[in-house]
Amino acid sequence: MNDLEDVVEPITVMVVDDHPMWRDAVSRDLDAAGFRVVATADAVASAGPRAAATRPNVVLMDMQLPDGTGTDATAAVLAASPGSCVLVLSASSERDDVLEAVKAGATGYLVKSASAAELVEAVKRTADGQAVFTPGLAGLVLGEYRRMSTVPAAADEMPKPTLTPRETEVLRLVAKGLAAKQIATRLGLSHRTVENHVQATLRKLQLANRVELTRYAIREGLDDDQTRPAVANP
Amino acid sequence: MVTMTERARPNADPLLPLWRSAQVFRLASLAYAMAILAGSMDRVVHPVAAWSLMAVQVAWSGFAVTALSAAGRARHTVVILDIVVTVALIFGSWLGAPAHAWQTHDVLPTVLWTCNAIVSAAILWGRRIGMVVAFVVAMSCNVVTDDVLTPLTVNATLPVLVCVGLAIGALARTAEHANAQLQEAVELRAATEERERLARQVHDGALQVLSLVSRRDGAVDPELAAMARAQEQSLRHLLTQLSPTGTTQSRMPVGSGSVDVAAALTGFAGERVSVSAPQDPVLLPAAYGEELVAAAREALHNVVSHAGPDARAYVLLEDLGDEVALTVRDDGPGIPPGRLAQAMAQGRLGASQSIRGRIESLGGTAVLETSPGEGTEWELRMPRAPEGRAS
Repeated sequence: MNDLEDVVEPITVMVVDDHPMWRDAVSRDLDAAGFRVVATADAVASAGPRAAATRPNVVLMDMQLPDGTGTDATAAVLAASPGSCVLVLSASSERDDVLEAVKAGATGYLVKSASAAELVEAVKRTADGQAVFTPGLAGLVLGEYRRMSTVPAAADEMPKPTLTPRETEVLRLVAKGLAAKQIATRLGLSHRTVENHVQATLRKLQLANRVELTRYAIREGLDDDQTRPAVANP
Repeated sequence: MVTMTERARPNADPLLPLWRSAQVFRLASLAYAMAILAGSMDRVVHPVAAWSLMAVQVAWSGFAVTALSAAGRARHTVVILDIVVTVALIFGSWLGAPAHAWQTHDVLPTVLWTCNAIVSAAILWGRRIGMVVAFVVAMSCNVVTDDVLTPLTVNATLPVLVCVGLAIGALARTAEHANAQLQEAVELRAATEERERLARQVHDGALQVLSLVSRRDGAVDPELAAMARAQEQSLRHLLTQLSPTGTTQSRMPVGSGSVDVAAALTGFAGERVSVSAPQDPVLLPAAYGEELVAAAREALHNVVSHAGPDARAYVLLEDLGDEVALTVRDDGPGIPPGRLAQAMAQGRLGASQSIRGRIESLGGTAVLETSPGEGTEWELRMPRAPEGRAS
């Protein structure tokens, strides 16, 4: 937290959650850690406009909102404020939605029961452009790449994204609960290289998803102004 | 409280409508029997005796209709008496006229009415006893009319009555079965609604307070915050299982004889156990999937008993196409070299042998990696289509 004080501009955060008590508690924790909570939203509809108005560095995203899912809200927020990074906070019961949110552009995932210190650390890393992984998310991403590799690509389609052997190796270790530093030691890589591999696995997934959405929009003959990812999320 | 709607309410006495319809038939067949007797007067030698028996038949019918239409009565006695009275009345036909008067083509005054005893027995006891009673009644008729040796093509009393016993018995059992299923469905719906209500209540109430307390690490007693966090996690986990969209349903066997290993493993997740799995179900033949899950349970149990109170465990499930890989890792102190061999030498077949046995007996592999300070790591691989067994 000391290095945060050296930063002239504090990291700005927006909290999207429909439980006021939770929003207040999280905002207090983030304020105490030196972040600035610039906006809160309690629904998909208000998340986009508020992100556009405040351009937060990091958006903390709940998966269950009254008027839609965290995936919808993630797409809306990133369309309104492309520079923001979305960190999904999810109760374990919403596990299956997390992969969808990640494909829609979220760069991290944390369980809601994580401690305040873990949350602060995750927000810091998200703002820094790093991917915040839990072992559970790594398992989902691994599974998703394997699933895509078993579905034959249609003739007119882009080749499916694949993981390099090294990326697979790194992701498996993340899924087995090893921290980036432990992985770096075990594989004889630098900490930064490990982080890059992990980020790459998400970036390829998101890129493939964006291409897929665009193709879907073109195929369905949607107008240009309707191809925003916010609505095209089959 | 869960309110049940009218559209599908299971009946406490599901066969009551059937009993009541049968009594309508009893009255109709009684009128038919009276008409037959009236039309048979040219053959009846003793009209007074014949009409006296008809009076008995009317009286018994009246009693049976009343007794069997009422719900919840002990029907067994009435039905046994129904059979006795029916057989007695069939033989009573001899009092009105001798056997040769009734032989072939002609019908007994009791004839169609005798079906009532068969219908009652079939509703109460099912098709087998229904058919036995039908046989007794039909043979009684055939004895009385001296038709025991008449070919079935000429006198079809026996096959017709046996078919009545079979059909009504089958109908009654089907009705009961359908009612039982309806009962189950209604209970399930009530339970699901209750669970959803509970889940909402917990999620919006207790859970929010717990997460608030656990987040205020500095402001409250750290021990209290830790306790709140533990409760919060276990409640969230419980909600996962309560939620109808959660894992409870997918944990059911999928299709015939398959197990979703991914869903089964999610049940192990908790404060100290992280479970990573693909989003889609990972299906294995039941016997293989269950052994894999049991092996994971043992490995996790080992972590609890040997890796110390602070150790965390990580389960990773991967679907590799032709095989399924399951890793169980802990970040405990690990096992010193020679320790396992020592336990084996002492004749203690530890958990490691048991895990290996489970997996290898089904054609898979189980590898344990451990060293001091590095925790332990089991890698279990189970083939998707085991040898000599198509899946």
